Amino acid sequence: MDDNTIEIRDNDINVEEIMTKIRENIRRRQAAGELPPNPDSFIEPTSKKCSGEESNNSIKRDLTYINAYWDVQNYDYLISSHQPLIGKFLVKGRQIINGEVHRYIDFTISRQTEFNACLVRIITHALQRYTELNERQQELNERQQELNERQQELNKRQQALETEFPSFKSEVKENIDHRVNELFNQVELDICGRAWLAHVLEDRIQTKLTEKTTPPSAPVLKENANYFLFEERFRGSREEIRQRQLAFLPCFEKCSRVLDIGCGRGEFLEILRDHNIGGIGVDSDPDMVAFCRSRQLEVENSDAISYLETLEDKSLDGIFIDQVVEHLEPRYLIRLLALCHQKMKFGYTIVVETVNPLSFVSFVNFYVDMTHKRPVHPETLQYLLSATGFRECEKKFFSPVSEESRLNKITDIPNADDPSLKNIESYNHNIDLLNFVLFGAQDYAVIGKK
Amino acid sequence: MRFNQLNSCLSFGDAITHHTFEIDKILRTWGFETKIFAGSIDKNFASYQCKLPGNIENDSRYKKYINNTEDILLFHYSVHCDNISFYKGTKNKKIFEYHNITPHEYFRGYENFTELLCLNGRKELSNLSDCDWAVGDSEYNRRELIEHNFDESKTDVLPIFISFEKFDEAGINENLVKQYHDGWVNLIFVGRIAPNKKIEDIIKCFYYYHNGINKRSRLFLIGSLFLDKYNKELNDLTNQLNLERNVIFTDKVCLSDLKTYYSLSDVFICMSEHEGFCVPLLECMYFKIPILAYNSTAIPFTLDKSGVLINTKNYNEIAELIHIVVSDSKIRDQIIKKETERLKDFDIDKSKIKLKQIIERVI
Repeated sequence: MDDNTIEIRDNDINVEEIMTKIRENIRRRQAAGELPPNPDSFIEPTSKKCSGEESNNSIKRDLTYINAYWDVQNYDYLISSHQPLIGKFLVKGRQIINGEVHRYIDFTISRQTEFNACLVRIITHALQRYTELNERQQELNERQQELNERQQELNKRQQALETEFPSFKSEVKENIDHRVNELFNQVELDICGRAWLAHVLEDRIQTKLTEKTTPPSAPVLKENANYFLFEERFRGSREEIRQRQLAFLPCFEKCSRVLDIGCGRGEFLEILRDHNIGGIGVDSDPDMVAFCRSRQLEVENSDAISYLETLEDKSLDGIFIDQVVEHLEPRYLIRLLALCHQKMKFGYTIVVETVNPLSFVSFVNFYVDMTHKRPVHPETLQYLLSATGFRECEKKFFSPVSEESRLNKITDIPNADDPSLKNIESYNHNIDLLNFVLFGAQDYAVIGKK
Repeated sequence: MRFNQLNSCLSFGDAITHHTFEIDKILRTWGFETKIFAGSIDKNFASYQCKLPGNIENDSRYKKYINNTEDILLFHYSVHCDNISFYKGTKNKKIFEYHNITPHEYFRGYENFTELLCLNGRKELSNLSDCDWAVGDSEYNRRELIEHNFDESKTDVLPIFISFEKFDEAGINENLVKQYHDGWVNLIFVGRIAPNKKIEDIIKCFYYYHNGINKRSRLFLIGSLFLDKYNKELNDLTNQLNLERNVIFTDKVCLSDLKTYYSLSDVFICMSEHEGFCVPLLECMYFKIPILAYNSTAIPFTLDKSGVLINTKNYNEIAELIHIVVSDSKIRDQIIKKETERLKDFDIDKSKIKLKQIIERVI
C-alpha cells in the first residue's frame, strides 16, 4: 500500500498532485471556517448547535422581551410611609405632588405606551414578514440557480443537436450495421460453441478408438513416384480440369481470400485470378508447388493442417478442396474440416469435391491412383461437414460419363399398337437403372456455409 | 452428458445466482443438457421482472444424478450449506467454484445464524479440496483455495459471467429521473447493506462532502436491507448527522431502477472491507462511473489498473477526492478510460474460452 490516502495505478494521473490539491483544499476550508466538525462529535447524544442558530435565538429572546415590556405605565406604584408620626403628612404631600406630576406626564406616558405598542406590532409583523421573505428568497435563489443550470444545459443540448444533426443519419446507419453484425456474430458464436462440443466429444471417441494405433499424420502423396507426372497422365489435362472446376466459381464470387487445399497444378487458382478473386494454394508436393509458382500463383509447400494452424481465425472467405479427401485418414479429415471452420469468416462457402463411390465406373477407377486411401461416401462427407458446424450442406454430382460409354437404349420405338412396345419400354427402363449404377456421375461435391 | 450446477440458494440481485444462470445459458447453446439445483429458491424473481430458467430444481432432486460418472457438477461455494454432502459424495466430474465467504466476525451481534453459516463455511473449506478442478472467481479467491489444501496445479480463475445485455433491454424509471436528475451530484454504492461493506464509512465521507463542499449532493445506497439492527444503526447515524434527506436507502431494486440509479450517478464509492469479487465495480465500468474503492481483499484484483484505490479511511480527504473527481473532467475521463479498458478483460467471450478449457480438462 501507498503512504498516500489514495492509489491510482495509471501513469497518466499524478497522484502526488492530487494529494497536494486535496491537502490545500482542506487547509483553505479550515481557514475559511467551512470545514464541518468531526462527525464523531455529532454522534454524541449532546450535540452542539451552530452559531447561526444561536443568533436566531437571541433575536427571539429580544422579541419576547419587547412584547412583554412595551407598556411603560406604572399602575402598581403605591404611596406610603413608614414614619409613625409624620407619615400621614408625608403621604398626603407625596399624593399632591404625584397628582400634580401626573397631570403633566400622564399624557406623554400614554402616548409613549401607545407608540411602543405600535412599534412592537410593527417589529413583530416585520420580523415575520422578513422570515417569510428570507425563505422565499432562498427558494427563488435555488430556483434561479436551477433555471440557470437548465438554461446552460439547454444551450449545450442545442449546440450539440446543431452539430450532431448532420451526422445523425450516418450514425443511425452505423448503429443498424453494428446491430446486424452483432447478430451475425452471435449466431456465429452459437454455431462455434456447438461445433466445439461436437469436436471435443468426437475427439474423445476417436482417442478411445485409436488408443493403440499410430497418431494421425499428413497424407503421404508421393514416395519415390513423381505425382506431378502421374496427374498429367491420369487426371486429365489442365484445360479439362479448368472446365470442370469452373462450375464452382459462383460459390466464391466477391471473395478476396480463398484457400485451395491440395491445389495441385493450380487450375482453380488460375480461374480465381482470371476473375479477380484473391486465391492462395497449399500443397504438400514440392513439384506441384514449383509448377504453380512458375505460373506466378501464390502457393505454400506445406501439409494442410500445419498451414491452416498458422492462419488467423476467421481470415479466409472461401475454401476449395478438390480431389483431396480420398487421400486422407478419417482422423486427419475431421481435424482438417474443423480447422477450415475455425479459419473461415461467417457466411462464406466451403466446397469439398471427391470421387463418387456410388458409380461403379468411378469406383473402379478409384484404384488407378495408388495414393488413394479410401473413397468417402457422399452421406458421410455431408455429415462430417454438418457436424463440424457448417450450415446448409448440400451434395451435387458432376462429371457424367459420356453417352458413348454408357449402355445404349433402343431408340427405334414402334407404334402404340405394336405388341413389342411394352418389352422395349421395360428394357429401356432397366438400361437407365443400370446406367445409373454402373455409369453414374464420376464426382460429387458437398457445399456448405459457415 | 449432463452439466449440473449446485448452489446454496438462488435469489434475485445475487451475483452468484446470475453467474449460475449465465453459465447455464452458455452451456445450453453449446449443446449440453443442463440442470441447476439449489437449497433454497427465492420466490420473488417475478416481482423484479426476472424470468427464471426452466431447469431449476430443489437440491434434493440432485440425488437422482449423483452416481452418473459421465455428468459434470459445478459446485458454487459461498456459504455453509447442507448440500455440501452431495458435493462430497457425487460421482460426477467435479468442478469447485469458490466465491469467498464473509468473515463471520462482521455479523457478530447482528445476526447469529448468518455468523454461524459464515464461520462453518470457512471451517469446511479445507475439507472440500477433493475435486477434478477448482476455480476462484478472482485471483484473490484462487489464492485462498491454495491456502486451504487445494492442489495449485488444478486451480484457475473463472471470472463472474456478467451480461450487460440485460441493462440494454431494461427500461428507465422516469419517476426517479424526474426526482433526481436535477444537477445535484449523486454518489452511489451498490451492494447488500451489511456490516462488512462499512456503509457507515461511506456516510461519513458523504457528510464531509455534503457539508463542507457541496450542499447540492446526495448519496444512493442501493441494496438489500436484511439486518434490522444494522439498518437502525445506520438510520441513527444519518439522523445525527442531519443527512436523512440526502442519504437514500432504496433496499433491493428491480433492474430498470438499478439502471436508472447508475445512469444518474457521478461517483461510485465503496468502503467495503471484504469482497470476493464485487460485481458492482464492473457495472460501474459499464456505466462509465468513476470508482473510488477501499483497497481490500478482491477489490484491487477486480480493478487491476483502473479506478482509485483508497488506502486510508481519512473521510475528509476522501470527500475532497470526490470533489476532484466530480469537478476535474480530465482526471474523471482518464479514470473512466482505464475502467473501460479493464472491462474488456471480463468480456464474456474470454470467459467462455476459459470455461471451455476447464471443461476440456475435466471430461
